[in-house]
Amino acid sequence: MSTQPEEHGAGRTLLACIAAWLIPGAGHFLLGRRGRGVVFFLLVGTTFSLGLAFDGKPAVVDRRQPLLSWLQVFANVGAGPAEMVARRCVLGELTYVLPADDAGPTPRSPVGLKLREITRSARTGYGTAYLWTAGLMNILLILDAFDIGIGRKS
Amino acid sequence: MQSHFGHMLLFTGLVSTFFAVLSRSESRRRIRFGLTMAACMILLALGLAWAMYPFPG
Repeated sequence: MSTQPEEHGAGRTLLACIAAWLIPGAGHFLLGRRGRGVVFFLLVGTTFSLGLAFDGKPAVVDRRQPLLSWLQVFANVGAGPAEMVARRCVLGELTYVLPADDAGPTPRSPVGLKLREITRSARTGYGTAYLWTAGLMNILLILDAFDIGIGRKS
Repeated sequence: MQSHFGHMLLFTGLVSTFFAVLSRSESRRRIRFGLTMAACMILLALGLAWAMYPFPG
């Protein structure tokens, strides 16, 4: 493992950041921090898997509380393409916005009905927290890969 | 697993390990940082839970 900060060039840094979003830990792996990359992959992967196992709820933008729901979606999206696959499987479609006519106590759209069903699970609070955490961890990894790439961190 | 405390320990373990590996490069310092962070998270959570006890659940 390198101890002195070194620049990796703009192209490689950009590639590492994109890879870090696509696969957690891949950015560090590309920049030569292979051990760290594997550990991060396992940690983020475990956290994300726990989120799915405990009925985590994928966030959708809700016009009744736009700021909070946008932040939740941002945290979810940080986990990369795996989140899209999970969202498609859990909600039945790849959507990030709750239909405008569905913002009420009695949802009618398939997504609204599915979200209400998930919310009834006693474990969804835990699962949702794990999903947010996995996404936020991966966003930190992207920023860390950027710092390593530009030589700010060893 | 339905235990709040079990989830708290699991969550603490994952997050403190993540930040230990992210922010420290030497093994010894990583372990120390991770254990300190885990202890702080658990103690803070228990302290907050105790402080909120008078409020209705």
